Amino acid sequence: MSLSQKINDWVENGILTAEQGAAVVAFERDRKSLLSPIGALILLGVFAIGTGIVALVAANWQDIPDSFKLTVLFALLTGTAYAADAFRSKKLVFEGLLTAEMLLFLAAIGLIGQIYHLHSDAYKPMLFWSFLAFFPLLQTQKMILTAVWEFVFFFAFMLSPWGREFARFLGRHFNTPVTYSAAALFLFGALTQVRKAELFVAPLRKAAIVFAMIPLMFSERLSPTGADAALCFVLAAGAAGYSFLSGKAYKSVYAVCILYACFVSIPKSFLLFFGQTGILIALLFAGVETKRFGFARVMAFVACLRVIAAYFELFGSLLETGGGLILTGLFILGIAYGWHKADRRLKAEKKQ
Amino acid sequence: MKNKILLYIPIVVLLLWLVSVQQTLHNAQTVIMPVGGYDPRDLLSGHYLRIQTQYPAATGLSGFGQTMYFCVDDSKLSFAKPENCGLFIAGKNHYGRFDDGISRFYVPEKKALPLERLLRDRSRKAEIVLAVDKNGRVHAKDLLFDGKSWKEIQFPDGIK
Repeated sequence: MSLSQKINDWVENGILTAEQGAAVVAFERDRKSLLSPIGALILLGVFAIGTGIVALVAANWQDIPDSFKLTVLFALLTGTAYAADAFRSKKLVFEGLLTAEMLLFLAAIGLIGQIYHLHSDAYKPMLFWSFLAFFPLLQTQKMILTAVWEFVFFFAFMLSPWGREFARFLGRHFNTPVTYSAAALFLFGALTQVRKAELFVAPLRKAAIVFAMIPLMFSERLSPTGADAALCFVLAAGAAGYSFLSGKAYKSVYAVCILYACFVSIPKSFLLFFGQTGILIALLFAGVETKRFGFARVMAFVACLRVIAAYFELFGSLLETGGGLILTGLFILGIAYGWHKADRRLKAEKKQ
Repeated sequence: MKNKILLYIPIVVLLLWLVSVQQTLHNAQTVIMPVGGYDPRDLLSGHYLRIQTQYPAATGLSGFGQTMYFCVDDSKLSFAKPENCGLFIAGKNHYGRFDDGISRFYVPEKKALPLERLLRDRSRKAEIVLAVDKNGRVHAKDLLFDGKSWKEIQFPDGIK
């Protein structure tokens, strides 16, 4: 649908007046866009020049003196840093230059390693890059950059000797999926209390909840041993206690923690599925109560997927028959309808 | 001002690293050792030859990861830092093989395959020029085939 058609819709539905709609159309028409014919030609020209430079450099790489390569590299690094500082007020350009600077750090590590035939374990250049990239990262407003940095840093750390030691420690004390899930959920809960450094904390929070969710989606190999159950119970009880003592109205969080504590005490049986789904639904309510409606909507969707997964686990053989397929289709449509209603309700709650 | 400094700190760190590598190589002593190898691909730094410097085998030794020293003067291996040794190389014991940490030599893409063939050719004498600092750490400086640097070798199919 074109912008004009959308604006006509909005005017007809009373969202905009006719004069406002005309003003929006006039504004967009006069705005310079990269997608205009002249913009496309400029992009094509810049792309041709850039590709030509890369091709020339690549074809003559071995003939270019090492000192020249290093001089150009550091000139590029300094130029990018200078340009980023100069364009600080233009957000998009600033973020683009920060990203370019972080990529150039990678190029610098690779080039110096190549020229001097340096050798090291894989984690060392990654940790070095993480150190260098941390400084420009403190100035970014883009969560994608912090998320990428955290991924690289975590990956490098786990490859390092300290990371291997940490993994051995985790393996000794958290050796089943359900204990990992409980620990990840505990971490998620702790990170929801952190209000500062949101750009760094938010990706960690998202990663923690994803790790916590994965074991709740499967029922195999989840039966905890006595020691695991005790550990999960302690974590869940601790989280419930903190929520209560902190004085905030996180009643649904208590429910999540109590359900988790009960869940880990249940031996593997048909009750396992209800425990898993119960936790997902409790998390949905916790999201609503803490006004994290995006999170609540995701939990609603994940709970629906879990129910569908359980259906296929139990009744997968029905798919071999025509009647079974019809029943499965009706079931999925029913779940979709239920999710749609819940999603609309959550959207309405968010607007209020 | 603080934000400006944050942009330049990593560049200064990279420069300092480059200078320290350059200084290490400049002040290091040089030694030539026999070498053998094969060719994989490194995602970050381009093509390299996977090489192994040939040291006398640490026969009878088991275990992995213990620090060892190779004295260039008398070609002997030891677990303790050798005294009265003019030049020594520090490395690790890998199940009876002395590993100096040198496993790569970066070459241009076009020359990677012909050089790999030369490395495998037993009729050719392949050697590596190592820069050794006062602590025994080594850096690869050059690769020689029959005494000639790899950069000077002309290949029959016109590769320069």
